[in-house]
Amino acid sequence: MTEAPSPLSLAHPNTDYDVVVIGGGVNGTGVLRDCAIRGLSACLFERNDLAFGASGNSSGMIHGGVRYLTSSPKVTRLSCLDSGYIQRIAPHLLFRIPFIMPIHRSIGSRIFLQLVDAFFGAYDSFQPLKRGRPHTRLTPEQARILEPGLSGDIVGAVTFDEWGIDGARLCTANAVDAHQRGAHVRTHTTVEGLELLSSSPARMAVRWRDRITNQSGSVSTRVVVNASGAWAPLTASLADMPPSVAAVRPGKGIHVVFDRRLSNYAVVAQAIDNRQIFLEPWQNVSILGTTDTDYYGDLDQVTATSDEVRYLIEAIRRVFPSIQNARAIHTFAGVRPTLYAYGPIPDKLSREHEIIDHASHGKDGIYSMIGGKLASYRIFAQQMTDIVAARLDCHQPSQTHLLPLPGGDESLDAGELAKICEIDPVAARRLIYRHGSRARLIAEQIVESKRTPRFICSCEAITEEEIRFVVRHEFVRCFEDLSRRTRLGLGPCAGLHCVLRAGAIVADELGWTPSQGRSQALRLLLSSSFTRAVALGSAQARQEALLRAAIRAQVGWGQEP
Amino acid sequence: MGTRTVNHHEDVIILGDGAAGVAAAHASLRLGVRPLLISLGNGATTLYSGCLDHGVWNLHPRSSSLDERQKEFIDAIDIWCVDPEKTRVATLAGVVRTADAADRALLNLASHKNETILVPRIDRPNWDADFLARSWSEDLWCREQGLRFESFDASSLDDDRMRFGSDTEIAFHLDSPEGRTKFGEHLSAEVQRHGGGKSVLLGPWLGIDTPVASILTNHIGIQIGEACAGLGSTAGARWEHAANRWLTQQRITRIQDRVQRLEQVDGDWNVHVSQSKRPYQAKAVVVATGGIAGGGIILTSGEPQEGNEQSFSPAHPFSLSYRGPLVLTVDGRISETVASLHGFNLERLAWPRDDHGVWWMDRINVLRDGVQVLDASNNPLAGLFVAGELALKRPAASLASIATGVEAGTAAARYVLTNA
Ligand SMILES: Cc1cc2nc3c(=O)[nH]c(=O)nc-3n(C[C@H](O)[C@H](O)[C@H](O)COP(=O)(O)OP(=O)(O)OC[C@H]3O[C@@H](n4cnc5c(N)ncnc54)[C@H](O)[C@@H]3O)c2cc1C
Ligand SMILES: Cc1cc2nc3c(=O)[nH]c(=O)nc-3n(C[C@H](O)[C@H](O)[C@H](O)COP(=O)(O)OP(=O)(O)OC[C@H]3O[C@@H](n4cnc5c(N)ncnc54)[C@H](O)[C@@H]3O)c2cc1C
Repeated sequence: MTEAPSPLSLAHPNTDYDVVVIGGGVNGTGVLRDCAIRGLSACLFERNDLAFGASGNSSGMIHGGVRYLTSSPKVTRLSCLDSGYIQRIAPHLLFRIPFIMPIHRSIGSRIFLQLVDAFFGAYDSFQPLKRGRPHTRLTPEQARILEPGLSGDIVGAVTFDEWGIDGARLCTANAVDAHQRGAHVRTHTTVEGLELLSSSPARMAVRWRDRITNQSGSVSTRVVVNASGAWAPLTASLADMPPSVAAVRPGKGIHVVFDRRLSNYAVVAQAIDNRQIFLEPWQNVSILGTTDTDYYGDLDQVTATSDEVRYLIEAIRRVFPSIQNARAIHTFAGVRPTLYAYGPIPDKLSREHEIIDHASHGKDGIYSMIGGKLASYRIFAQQMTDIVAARLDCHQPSQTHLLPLPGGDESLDAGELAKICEIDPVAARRLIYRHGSRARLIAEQIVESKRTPRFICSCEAITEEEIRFVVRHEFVRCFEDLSRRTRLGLGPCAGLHCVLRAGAIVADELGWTPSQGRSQALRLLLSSSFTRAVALGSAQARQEALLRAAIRAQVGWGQEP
Repeated sequence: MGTRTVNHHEDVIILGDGAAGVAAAHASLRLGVRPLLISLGNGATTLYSGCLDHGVWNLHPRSSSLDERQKEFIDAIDIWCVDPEKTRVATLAGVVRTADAADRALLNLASHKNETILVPRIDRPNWDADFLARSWSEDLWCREQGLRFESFDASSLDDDRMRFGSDTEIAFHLDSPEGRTKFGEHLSAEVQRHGGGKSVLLGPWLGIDTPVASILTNHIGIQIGEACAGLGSTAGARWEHAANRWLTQQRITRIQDRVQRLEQVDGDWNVHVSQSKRPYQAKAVVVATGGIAGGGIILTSGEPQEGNEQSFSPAHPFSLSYRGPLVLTVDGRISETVASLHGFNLERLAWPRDDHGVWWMDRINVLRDGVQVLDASNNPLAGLFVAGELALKRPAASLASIATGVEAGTAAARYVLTNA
């Protein structure tokens, strides 16, 4: 079965841009939006899908840079400040994650507790910048009351406040906004070459190929921003530079997803190598993370292994034993584009991100963005766009901290929305989480259909109308794109009840035949089978067997693409 | 061996009451040996699609090879129609598939030609008539047969039961004469309003204990039938009902309980269950407890051992859901403890990437010679037989389960008769 064609005639008549952005993670979409707001003509190329890389596979936290508190409090302050800005422009996308850090009895543990307490006391002074609450110090009894799942001999605990976010939604929101302001977004389109144009010396040619249609072409631009995360060195080499000019240290991290919220707090634990790991309630699931290992494999195919899963389970079960009976439904993995340093270099460690001007490598007009965090993507994008704008004689200041992202302009009441379109308030809340005030547009569609709302995915409460909305307005070109934006098919049912129906809807929207829709949906099942397998326990294995039997009975064997 | 057990007079005990278990009961009774069934219930058969096949339908050649005993069983249950050359059903995934046999409530497309089959538009969240009609019409075989599918308005069928009820709730409602008659009248009126039609495809709603499809077809003169659902279809409820009816007719006792242990004692088999202190005892046992989906096999790898604070302990990657002398195998190798405290490499449990690969968990089966269970050194365990998914090393299918069930039931009965 060949890839279903995309009907969205991605009409991009323009082939001359001010700026071309390579990479559709937070940094790339952030720069695109900033450029679009400042009136620069810009186009983004994304090899896979928006948030396909680190941005869609992170721990989903907007932290305030607590790590830098002792080495450079300025970084912490900036992180908290920017985290506050993200809240202002996309309040619907953030949710509070209170953390608890239990301290277990050992030699010096009491003193350690004092130190931790004092440390977070210092962090408290930055918390107001991001509407965070001050930390608390708990007695063992209090800790157990607040988090009954904790085990072991605890001398005390400290709580502190962070925010969670869905990285895929954040990237999508930035891309949608940029698009609404005239920027172009080309997903599943990889950049294959960067050349200086001999005809007009100030311009470069960017050669691209659409990986779905296999169409290729080229556009010209005055500036190129390489925001391709861990791929950055590869991208640099497309411009005939040695990869080392945009070196990153590729740090792979994996997460295990459990079927529900297992704890009240995000629980911090120590792994066998003293690294800190955590189990966090995140949206309506729990996420256990994360690892940090050097990764030298194919960046388009990063997956968790059962070893990595067990390393995490081993670490958390000492503190939170009931994890052993919990049901893992999914795993995901990403590669951090960490600043390159062979052996720790203090200066590098106190920075989170860096902009490289490749003029010094003979490629004037090409910049690479290395590193970064979801939490600081906005300021990083602003810094990058400041440089680009200055170069292009554009004197607009950045406004990305003031202008709301799509859906962030107004907060909706879930109860009211639920009444309007006769859905459950919980479903309405999920809808509002994903779309902010744009949820109203979807609710209107539901009302207009004059039917009982058709919930396609019951794990995430996704209606047919939402699927259609996402496909129409959020750059969906294949079935997995839909899943990335809504989490459809990644819940406890493993796609059993939703993927075939959702495939039909996507097919209808994109003008595919029903069998093309089906085969796309099955492709998702096949690829997510691997991410489930590495954490499979007995209950989920049974689910897997049922899923397979049901697919076989309805569609047949070997129809899996 | 002091304690006499409650049910010694039943000479064969069958564990599991899915297609394989009930077929085994039938075969055993046929030879005059009364069986006792012990099962938790609700296995794969309860959730099946309504189609019966020898293997996965689109890979396996159609085959009518049913022997007398299998036919008798199928007749006794009396819900299926066997015609492998001429069975085509539409699935709710929008596919038209073949089957070796099918629940009679399913609309058999093979008996239609050059016809437009109607699909009612009903306000029901998991019923999208427009999509289904479009998708079925796309099927190559249907086009060759001149079959088209067309959706039509049928809003008089909309009610709260249609909007919010489960498939089985609707089916249960149509079991009642009033519910059925009213539905038939509305449907018939909607078809007339649409301009007439000979056949209508519906969801899995056509009754549980009554042949609603044929009653209504006769009554309103329009042929109606179901499309096949993937999981938890009403066909499963019909199976449960029919199997129950047959077992009751034959006065075969069925005990709903969890089997915990199976052991051989002085030439007899003791079956220990969770709700009774005394084991059930019999000369012969048929093990038909199903595969992963049915709960007969569980993945044990990496599961913590109960009460073990320390850590995990070495285990087999998978095991039966009760203890006993049976040995599980995959690809001819017997299952042994994994050389890891954390279980085996779970990567192997991903779906195979190639079209014809068989999923690892589908290949697990009991070490056996035919239906005769063997011990680890390949010696027969006298009086112990296996049937159903546990006796298949390929993706399970109902006719294969029934065939092994009949085989095992016969073997068990013969064993009892010769060793009496
Ligand atoms: C395990 C893990 C946990 C993390 N946890 C957090 C956290 O909790 N909080 C936080 O703030 N940060 C976290 N991070 C860090 C954060 O996710 C990343 O730093 C950030 O997402 C980097 O964004 P990016 O846009 O630079 O890169 P990416 O998101 O990786 O995007 C790069 C994109 O470029 C595309 N691309 C590559 N080559 C080409 C080409 N030739 N043409 C076109 N496109 C191309 C790729 O397909 C990819 O989508 C975490 C990261 C990881 C891996
Ligand atoms: C969704 C689905 C769709 C299917 N579609 C088709 C199809 O289209 N065509 C086809 O040919 N086949 C299909 N099948 C497969 C077919 O249904 C099975 O192969 C067949 O029913 C297996 O029968 P069985 O008797 O071996 O097992 P089961 O029906 O699973 O019966 C096993 C029984 O043993 C019981 N049991 C297990 N362990 C214990 C214990 N420790 N104590 C007590 N009782 C226990 C269980 O509760 C269960 O009642 C489908 C299966 C599923 C799940």
